[in-house]
Amino acid sequence: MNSSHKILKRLEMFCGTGGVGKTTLAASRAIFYAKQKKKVLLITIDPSRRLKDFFAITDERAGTLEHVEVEDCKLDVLLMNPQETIRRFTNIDEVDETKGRRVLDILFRPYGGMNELMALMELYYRYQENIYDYIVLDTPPGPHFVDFLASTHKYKLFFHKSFVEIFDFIIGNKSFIFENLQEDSDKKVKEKGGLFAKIVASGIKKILFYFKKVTGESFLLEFIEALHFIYQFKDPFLAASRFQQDILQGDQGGLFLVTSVEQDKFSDALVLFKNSRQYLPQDFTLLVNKVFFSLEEERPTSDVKEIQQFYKLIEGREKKVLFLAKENFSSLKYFPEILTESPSEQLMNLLPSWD
Amino acid sequence: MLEQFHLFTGKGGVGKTLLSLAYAYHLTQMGKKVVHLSLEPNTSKFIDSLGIKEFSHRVLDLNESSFHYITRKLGKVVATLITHAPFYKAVFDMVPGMGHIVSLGQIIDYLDEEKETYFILDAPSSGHVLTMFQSLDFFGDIFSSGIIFNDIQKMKKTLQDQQRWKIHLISLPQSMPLQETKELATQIEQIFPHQYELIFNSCWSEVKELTEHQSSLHEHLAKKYQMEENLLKTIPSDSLRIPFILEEDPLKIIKEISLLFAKGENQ
Repeated sequence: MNSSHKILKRLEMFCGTGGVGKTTLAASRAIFYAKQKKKVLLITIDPSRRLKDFFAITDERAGTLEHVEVEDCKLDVLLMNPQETIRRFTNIDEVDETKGRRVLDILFRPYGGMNELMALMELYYRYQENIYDYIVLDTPPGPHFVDFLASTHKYKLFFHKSFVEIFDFIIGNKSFIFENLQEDSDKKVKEKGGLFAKIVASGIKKILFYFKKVTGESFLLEFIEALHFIYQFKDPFLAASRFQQDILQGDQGGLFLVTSVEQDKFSDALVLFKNSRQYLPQDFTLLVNKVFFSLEEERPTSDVKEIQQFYKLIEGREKKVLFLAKENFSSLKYFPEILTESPSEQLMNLLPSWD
Repeated sequence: MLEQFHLFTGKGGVGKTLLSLAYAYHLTQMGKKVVHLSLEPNTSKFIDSLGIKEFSHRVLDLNESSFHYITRKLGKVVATLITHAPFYKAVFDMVPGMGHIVSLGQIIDYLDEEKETYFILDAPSSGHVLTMFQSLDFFGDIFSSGIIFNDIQKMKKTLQDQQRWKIHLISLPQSMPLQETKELATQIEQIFPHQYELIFNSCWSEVKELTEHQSSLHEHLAKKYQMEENLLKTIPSDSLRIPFILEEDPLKIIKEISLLFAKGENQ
């Protein structure tokens, strides 16, 4: 057994609809652990990378691990950058334009098609490094979090063995295949037997023919080269998928759904919760952010009629969210609204709520 | 002349959907024919009560819209054949940018066919909407021929026309949303200069009742008011500021904001 040296890790995920304070609460959670002298990595896989606002990290540093210090608490922070992640796993820098570089650059941009997969691989890599006690994950808002959870299925389809095989073959025989894409060449290609016949029978030849009509031949060639490049790295991709299934289904994590009393969006949070459940069977803790009235010892009132009406409205909204929160979640925590211009002060002020 | 196509975007939670509906309602009140399209699942109930026409959601479903695109270009038989192939499905998921182009293309075709109809799009949040626009350039550069190449050229021409459309960039008077808005504005500026309008939603300092009785506010809320006011001093004064609406019912809020749009355009 060589697992005895393995540090006990916990992966905590923060999800929620937009603008509720996911990033803020994830960052405060990371500081909370750092303060206990735990080794913590805080990662955001949300391409908007709002985490940078708290730790004064510039976009140019995305993809590079930053060692930061906030009021004596040390932690590592990473703004995920798919372009940097793929560099670590592949030799993408050696790929030139004739080998599909332009298409690859599009696919690996933030918000490109590979964002979720790269997030998964980044997480897998950091987990394998085995140097952190805690990894805290800030995720993209709403349905994009579910996309991240569902990505395993999507990529399994993409990396299907038969596609990989056929694309290797097409690349190896591209001049013959491209010269004979039109329909009346079906017979000629089929006669060569083996995978040539399969390309005709599976309909892939036909699809390439129409693709060429829509996108032009040069794009199609670049696109096939790009797919071929990605297919070469199918093994690390698939290992990351297995990791996602193991870790997400396991019992090693904390799941936090964030909502805010400032927004009348509790129903959206519930939709997100329900859609995530099929991938994450564990219990979620609901974090209610920006609570004010319910945390005041003395309920604010005013003699001025207009102010009283204003209180009634915002207090009513807060109460409604808290009511629904209690109704739907057995595990929940409240976080006060912190008013400060200083990001680090904001994080420090939220710490007591984690105890 | 009012632009025919209005796109609402901004960070999550700033009120894109509500403001886009308010704008659509404002146009219907002016007697215009309006269609509204949203990514949000819960807008239909408002749309019905407001008497706005809902545009088919299928445009934003990347698989559906690619099917329609291929049908239009190559016929239904070919479209069915292509879009049902497992390989096509696997690959198409990987290239959301191409799907975006197709969706945008369908909207632009509609605008050309229905010149009298105004189109309000409650678009995805910041980064996603930016990718949609950038995709035109990225793919436009690589496609050198083919049907889609010509379509992209046509789309780019329409989008460069300042008379045709406008981006409404929504933010909140708080530092984090403002930061994201500034980043998005800088990037939009590079693609479509002078084609966006900045809107600050839910401003307390625009509420008469609060401004007049500011001193009576509880300490915490007074501080919040003050922080907001300080922040709004740092942004251009010509940006639109929507007050926090003292209402609970979303329909009433939408109607009240629509009156503000009407007022804004009369000035």
